[in-house]
Amino acid sequence: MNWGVFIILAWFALGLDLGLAPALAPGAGEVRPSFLFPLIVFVALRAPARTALWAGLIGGLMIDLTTPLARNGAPLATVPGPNALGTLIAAQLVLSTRAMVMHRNPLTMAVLTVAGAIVAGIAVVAVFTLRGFFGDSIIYESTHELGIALGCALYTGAAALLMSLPLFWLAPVFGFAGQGSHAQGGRFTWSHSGRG
Amino acid sequence: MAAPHDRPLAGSFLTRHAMAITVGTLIVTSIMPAGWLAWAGWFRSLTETAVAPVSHPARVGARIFSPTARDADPEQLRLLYDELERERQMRLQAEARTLRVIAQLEQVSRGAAVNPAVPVVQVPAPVVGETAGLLLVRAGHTQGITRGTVVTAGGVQLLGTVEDADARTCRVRPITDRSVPTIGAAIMLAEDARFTLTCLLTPAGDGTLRGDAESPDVADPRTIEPGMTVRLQDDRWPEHAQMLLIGTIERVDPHPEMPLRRVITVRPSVDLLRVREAVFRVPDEDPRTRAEGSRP
Repeated sequence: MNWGVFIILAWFALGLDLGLAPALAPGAGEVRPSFLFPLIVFVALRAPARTALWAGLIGGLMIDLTTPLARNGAPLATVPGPNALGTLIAAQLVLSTRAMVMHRNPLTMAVLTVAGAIVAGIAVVAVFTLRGFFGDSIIYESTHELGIALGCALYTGAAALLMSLPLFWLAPVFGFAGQGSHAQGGRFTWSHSGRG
Repeated sequence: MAAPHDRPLAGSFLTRHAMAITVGTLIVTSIMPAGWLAWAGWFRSLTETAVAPVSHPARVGARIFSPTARDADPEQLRLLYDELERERQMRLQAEARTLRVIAQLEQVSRGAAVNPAVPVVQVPAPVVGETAGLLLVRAGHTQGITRGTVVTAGGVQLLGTVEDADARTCRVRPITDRSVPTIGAAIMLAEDARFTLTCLLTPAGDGTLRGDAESPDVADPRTIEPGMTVRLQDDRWPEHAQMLLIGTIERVDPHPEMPLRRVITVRPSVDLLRVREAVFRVPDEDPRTRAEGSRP
C-alpha cells in the first residue's frame, strides 16, 4: 500500500472530522459521523493484513490525539491508546470478514463500518471504564458515552456509504496488491463479481 | 547489500515485533494515570495544528449548509445588533458596578479591601475545529490567553472559558457543555440592573441551560416570561465578564415541587458549537496584547 496516499487522506479525513462533522451533528452535537473511520475500513478491506492493522493503529492514534478529555479540577488530558486499540480491533474484525463479503459494494463498506465502529466504541468505553475503577480524574460517563458511540457508528455508516464511491475511484492510487489497473480498483458493483 | 539474515539482531527483533511492542505501549498508556500523560499534550497540539489547514476551511464551508440563525441577517444589521448589545452590556455593567460600589464603600468604611476592576482587551481568533465538546481556536499563549480566560461570541454573547492553551492553539469549553458547573445568572425583568432576578443555571446537554428562578413578589406585575434576557452575574467569574449575555428564556415551566419557583430554559443567542470566531477577553496587563487586541 502507498502509505503517502493513506497519510494524506487520513489527514484530510481528520480535518473533516474536526471541521465538518460538528455541523452535521443533530441536537446536542454529540452524535456525529467520522470520515476517518470509513477510510480505515476501506484499507482493511483491501490491504495486506499487517498493513491494515498498522493503518488502524495510526488512524486510531490520530483520533486519540485530537480528543482532549476533561478532568476534575485539572487541565485537559490526552490519552494515547483507547481509540488506537479500538480501531485496531475494528480492523481485525474487517480482516476476519473480508473473505466473505463483496469488496466493491458500497453497502459492504457501510455495514462493515457500522460493525467496526460499534466494536471500536465498545473497546474505548471499556478502557475508560477500567480507568474509572482506579479512581481516574477524567470525567467519563460510560453509559452515556456508549450510547453516543452507537449513534456515531450508525451515522459513520451513512458517511461510509457516501465515501465509498470516491474511495473506490481512488483505489488504484493506494497501490493495493493485485490492483494495478484503474478498471479493477475503480469500479463498484452491487452484485458479487467473484473476484472479491 | 546485507542479506536479511545478516541484519543486526536488535533491528530484526524490532521489525518482527514492532506491532506487539506498539500495542503493548498503547495498552500501558491507555491505563496510565492522566497526570502522567502531560507529554501527550504536545503531540495533541502538534496534530491539531497540522490538521487546522483542513478543518478550518471545512468548518467555514459547513456554515454554508448549516448557517446559524444570525448568519441569515444582513451584515450591517448584525453589526448594529452587536454594537447595541455591547452598549447594553456596558450600561448594565455600570449600573451593577454602581450598586456594588455602594456596598463596597460600606465595607471600606469598615476597613475591607476593594479590588479595582481590571481592564481587558478583546482578542478575536478563528475557530478551526471542534472535538469532544471543546472548540479548537487558533490563539494561544502568544496572545496572552491562559486557562480560565473568558471567551465571547461576537464580543457580546458569553461563549465559555479556555480549558487548555498552548503557544498557538487553545480549547474553549462552551457554557452549554454538560461538564460546566452551575452558573449564576440574572434574569432581566426590565432594561435596568436593579430589576433582576438571580438564578443558577445548569447545562441541560441539548444546547440550553436550565435552572430554578423564584417568582417575583406577588405585588410586582412583572413575571418571568419567554423572551426575557438572561445575563451573567456570578462572583466566581471575573468582574469584566459580568452582565455578558447568556441567552434568552425559551421556556418557563412550573417547578414540580415548589409552587413559588419556576424552571426556566435559556438558549444562547447563537449556537455556541458553531461559531466562526471566538473573542477572548484578556486582562490588559501585557503590552503585546494591548497592541494586538481591541478595547471593548
